[in-house]
Amino acid sequence: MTIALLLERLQTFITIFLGIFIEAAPFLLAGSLVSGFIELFLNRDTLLRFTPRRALPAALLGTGLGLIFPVCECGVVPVTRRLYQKGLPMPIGIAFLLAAPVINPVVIASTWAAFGWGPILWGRVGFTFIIALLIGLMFQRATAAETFTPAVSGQITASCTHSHAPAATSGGRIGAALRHAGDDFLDMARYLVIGSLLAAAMQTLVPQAVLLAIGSNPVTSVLAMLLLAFVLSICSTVDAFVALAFAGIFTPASILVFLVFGPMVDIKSSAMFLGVFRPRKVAYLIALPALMALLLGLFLNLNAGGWR
Amino acid sequence: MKPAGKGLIMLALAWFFFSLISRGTLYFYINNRFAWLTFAAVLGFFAVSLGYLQTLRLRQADDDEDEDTAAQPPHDHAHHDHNTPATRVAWFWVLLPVLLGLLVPARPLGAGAAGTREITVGSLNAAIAPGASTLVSPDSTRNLLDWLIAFDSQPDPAAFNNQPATLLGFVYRDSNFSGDRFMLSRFIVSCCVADATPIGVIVQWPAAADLPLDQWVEVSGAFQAGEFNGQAMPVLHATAITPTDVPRQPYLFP
Repeated sequence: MTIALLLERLQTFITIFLGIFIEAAPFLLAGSLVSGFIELFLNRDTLLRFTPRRALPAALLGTGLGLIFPVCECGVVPVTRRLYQKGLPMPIGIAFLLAAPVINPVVIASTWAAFGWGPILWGRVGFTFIIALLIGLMFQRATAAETFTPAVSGQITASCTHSHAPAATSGGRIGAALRHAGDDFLDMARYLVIGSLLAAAMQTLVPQAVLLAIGSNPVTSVLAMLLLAFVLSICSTVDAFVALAFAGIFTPASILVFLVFGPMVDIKSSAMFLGVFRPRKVAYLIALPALMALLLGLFLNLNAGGWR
Repeated sequence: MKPAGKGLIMLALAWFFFSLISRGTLYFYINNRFAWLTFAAVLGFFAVSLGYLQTLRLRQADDDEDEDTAAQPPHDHAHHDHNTPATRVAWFWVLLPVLLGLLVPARPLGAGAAGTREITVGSLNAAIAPGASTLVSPDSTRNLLDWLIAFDSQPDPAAFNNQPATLLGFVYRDSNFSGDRFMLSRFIVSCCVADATPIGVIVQWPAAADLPLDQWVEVSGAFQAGEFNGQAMPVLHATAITPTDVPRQPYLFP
């Protein structure tokens, strides 16, 4: 490979990397701002007064709660933990944890922007709903003592959990909400940058023939996207744009698996789960969505004629 | 990281996004229908940076008060942290796109990127949404994409014989091309450059081999039925070729 060709590739790599970042960063910022303002302006006690105690309505409510708390998979963990500390029923929190990163206005908008109205968008929302509901129901008999880390009732380490009550001393609640949003953005932006770098590198460095071989196979494409969703750890507000880069090469069902599984579980959210749940429950929270997404992808690819 | 540092990173991001608009390079990266997001992001990053910079002034005020009262431990979002080793390098990752965007000269995707992708030539197949053919412009103002849509709706390449066209695009050529042919190419981008798909028409021009790869040109001529790689398609027989600068909107947005 000549120097000129190498530079050409590098330029293409940079252009694609910047393209993904420029398209995605406004969505990440929007998600961070919403989470920052929720943090300071929403009274959770009021909300909890209206939560059902029975398992099915509770789990159903949990899957839809993202429409009120539009948080991505990073923001959802501390919010869930705080809601549990206030006595939220088990199925609501689990269903919320798994569904909210997809079933919320910001993510639906970015998925629409990337894929338009179509099977990817409704498939993403529909299958996320089903998986989150099922796992929420599975957790209904779990007790708080066996589910949460001892730290959850006391002082917690995983993320931003401090009280924001004294924000008045630091100059107004709006300023505090903006800083909270900024912290969220800075925490998450690096996962976006790394994800964009990997996606751009894959497009410019990996020969198309290799990708086509993996991506067009009904089984390997699903496995590859499942693994990629876990490893890339891209924020759910922007993962649709990264998925778009794979859309022409990988089977549509594998793209759907990426978009359903990635927001529920990935490297960074697994780490954050450990700050809330006992390791055994974290294992369930990783394995159950992975298994369901895998079955979904394989079923669509093998039985639904490639599902387009 | 101190709030001042975070505030500066947010300012840098606001500045970077603003520079994309002010330098006119935004459309090298994304579809123009998302340009408003970039405007909104400039405002958002700026607002967040103000949120951080506000603490500088207030910190000073707090410190003055604390000396007198020392009533409660000052709790500010900024000073307990978030400062794990991982977050300490967070600023590097966030600044990487800013640095690359400001230091590396912006250039749209060209022949190099086209060579690593599957190029759609002569007909569109799955490259764009069906139904778009109803949106074809009148003949005189058709761009490359409009022509390919027109070719798609008419299976007989001879139907376009002698139809004149003036088209803008960059020069693409590989080992499949004889010395008197090149491909006039453009990328279509539906979201951002991650989904860029090259399209093109074959141009017949005696001195095709003299045109540098990646050069933007305006080609005037007329279509005649022909073939490329064994596939029948209309070929543009050029009568004039003018080199041009990279257009402000290098990609076509379906």
